[in-house]
Amino acid sequence: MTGAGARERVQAATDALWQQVQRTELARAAVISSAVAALLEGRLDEHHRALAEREAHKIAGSAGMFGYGQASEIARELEAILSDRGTGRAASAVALAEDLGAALRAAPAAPAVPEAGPGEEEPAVLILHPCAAVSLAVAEDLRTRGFVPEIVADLTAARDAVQGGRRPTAAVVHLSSGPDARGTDDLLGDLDRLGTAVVGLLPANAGTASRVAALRAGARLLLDAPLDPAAGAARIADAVATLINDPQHSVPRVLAVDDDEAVLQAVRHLLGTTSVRVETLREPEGFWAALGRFQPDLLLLDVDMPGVSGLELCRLVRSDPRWSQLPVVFLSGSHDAEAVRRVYAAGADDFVSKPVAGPELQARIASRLDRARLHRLLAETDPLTGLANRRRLERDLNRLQLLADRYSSHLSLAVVDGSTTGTGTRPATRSCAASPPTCGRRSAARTRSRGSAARSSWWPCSACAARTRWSGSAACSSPSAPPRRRWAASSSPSPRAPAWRSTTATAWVSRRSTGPPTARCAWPRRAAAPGSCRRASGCRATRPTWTPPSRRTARSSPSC
Amino acid sequence: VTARRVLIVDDEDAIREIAQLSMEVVGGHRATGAASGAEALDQVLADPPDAILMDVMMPGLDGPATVAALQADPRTRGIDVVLLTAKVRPHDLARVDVLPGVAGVIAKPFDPMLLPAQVAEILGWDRA
Repeated sequence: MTGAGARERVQAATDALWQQVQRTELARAAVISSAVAALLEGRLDEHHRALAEREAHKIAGSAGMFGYGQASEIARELEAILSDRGTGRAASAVALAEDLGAALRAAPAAPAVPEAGPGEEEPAVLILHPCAAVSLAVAEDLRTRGFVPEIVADLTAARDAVQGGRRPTAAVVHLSSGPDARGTDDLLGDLDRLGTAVVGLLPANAGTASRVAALRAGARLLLDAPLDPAAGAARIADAVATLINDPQHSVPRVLAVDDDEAVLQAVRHLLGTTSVRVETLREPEGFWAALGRFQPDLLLLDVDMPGVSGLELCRLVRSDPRWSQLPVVFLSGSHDAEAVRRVYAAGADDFVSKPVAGPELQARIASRLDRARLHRLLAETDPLTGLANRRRLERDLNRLQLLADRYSSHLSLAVVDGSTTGTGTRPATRSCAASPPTCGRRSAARTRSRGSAARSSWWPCSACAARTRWSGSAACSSPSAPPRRRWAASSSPSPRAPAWRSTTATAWVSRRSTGPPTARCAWPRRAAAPGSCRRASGCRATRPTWTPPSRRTARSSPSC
Repeated sequence: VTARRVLIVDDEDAIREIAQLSMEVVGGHRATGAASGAEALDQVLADPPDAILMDVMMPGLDGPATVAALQADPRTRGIDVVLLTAKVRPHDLARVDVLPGVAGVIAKPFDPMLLPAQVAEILGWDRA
């Protein structure tokens, strides 16, 4: 290949990639920006310092490759300042952080930030709060939940971001009552028009009038402004996660598969008027990939297609546990009884005959989506307490572990018994939190066992958990134990926690248990008989057996 | 120029993709990618490359730890490793440059147009 041709190809590829990378880099710059602001005020804690240093390091290492050498240089300088913990240079660091943002945005003829359709990328969350500590804490919490937080410095920056074509999925906005009140209302209006879910923070003493005004301006959820950043952050992040994940607040997605483009067009047209997001697919071959990518809430299938038929696609969907609950509605040109029977036999939920009548299709889809929503709510919530159940815990924990791996931070799980601890903040297990783990650098085998075995079957035994940096163990309820337990996946830095614990808090989940021990134990007894844990040869990731309460103390965390 | 097989290890997709493209399009080599040290070890055993370009700071098994694992196995000991790092202050470099099995260090961000030449210079491919 000629030098010129190669240059062009590499250039084109880096340009295309930058479109995606710029978002990440800007989010990183925002974290640095908040950290140096805190540094200037002399209240940057170690956790956020290390986080910002890492982000600066990442920018330094990557931006220059895309032709943003200046940004790399600035980031390198910021990394040095943050690593030296030098407050003496804090003022220049603040200026550098501003330059960094500008350098990353100064794209040569590239669009500011590509518009993100909901769900295709990690949802962006705009944060506007006068207190940097709160902004940072919320951003950090959101990041561990898979969102891309973006901290904006003030109202002007927020409006610039929104009017500059940014479309955040959600926003956390401090609602001021001072001279900025008018500007805040305008911002909320802008966000509302973009379909952004806004969590408004009000002073605790705000009255009916200001609350109603905030809702009128476009806020969807109102919270009391936090006094303590650490405690407030989790609450705010919870609210954001609820808004984004709750199907009531998000636009449902429908994937329609038909080989006839005219039908797809009709479907797009008919459903385009309702608040449903439609993705259409003409080639059944690309179905599985589209399903994973688009994550639909409902599937609309044509019965007869060349190659793979709709019936086969339906069976395919039902064959996978992740999708077995997905509502499937069929479109078909034939009405005879046998065809309808075959459709339902394949696992369909509903059947609409072609030609498609608009209101009928809309109504059927709306009713299916409603039922699916109810189903999910029932499946993931405990009916008595209204709290999320174990299924939800497993899903969330899986996601959190992936995130922890990705950001190279630790995830710890504490099991807290709500009925004995009252506020539910003291870990019920004497977990390995007190013993610092072996440095990741020298723990090849451990890291691998954590990555593969632990993830697939959940729990290493407590001894192995200690070695694989799972600080925490699964406990089962005993016959006489109080029925209610709270599960908390958390590792926010606490006074007792060593510095290596760096991930933040996440969801609180609870489960109830009833019945005899074998039935009530969440972890099947099949696992290992006592003593069968092969400590010498590494973790086999067996689930912990149920232990009678009388023996539990003696056996808990033998190695810690 | 002889085409070589190069394994690129970096946890950041963007950097890995650019390095891969650079080695293939500019350098005319065959490049594969791995997103973590553990993945790299698996790939190296399955299909040993001529050289490995590896990030230093990675979650889990980081660059130096992966190099140590490669050195510990007689089957992989002979493979040249070039580290990629954004930590280019002298005392940072001194930490990784002297590791057994590391042929050299290239600073990040690298220029995709020059990367193959830098690698070739470190590993003496031009002279061979």
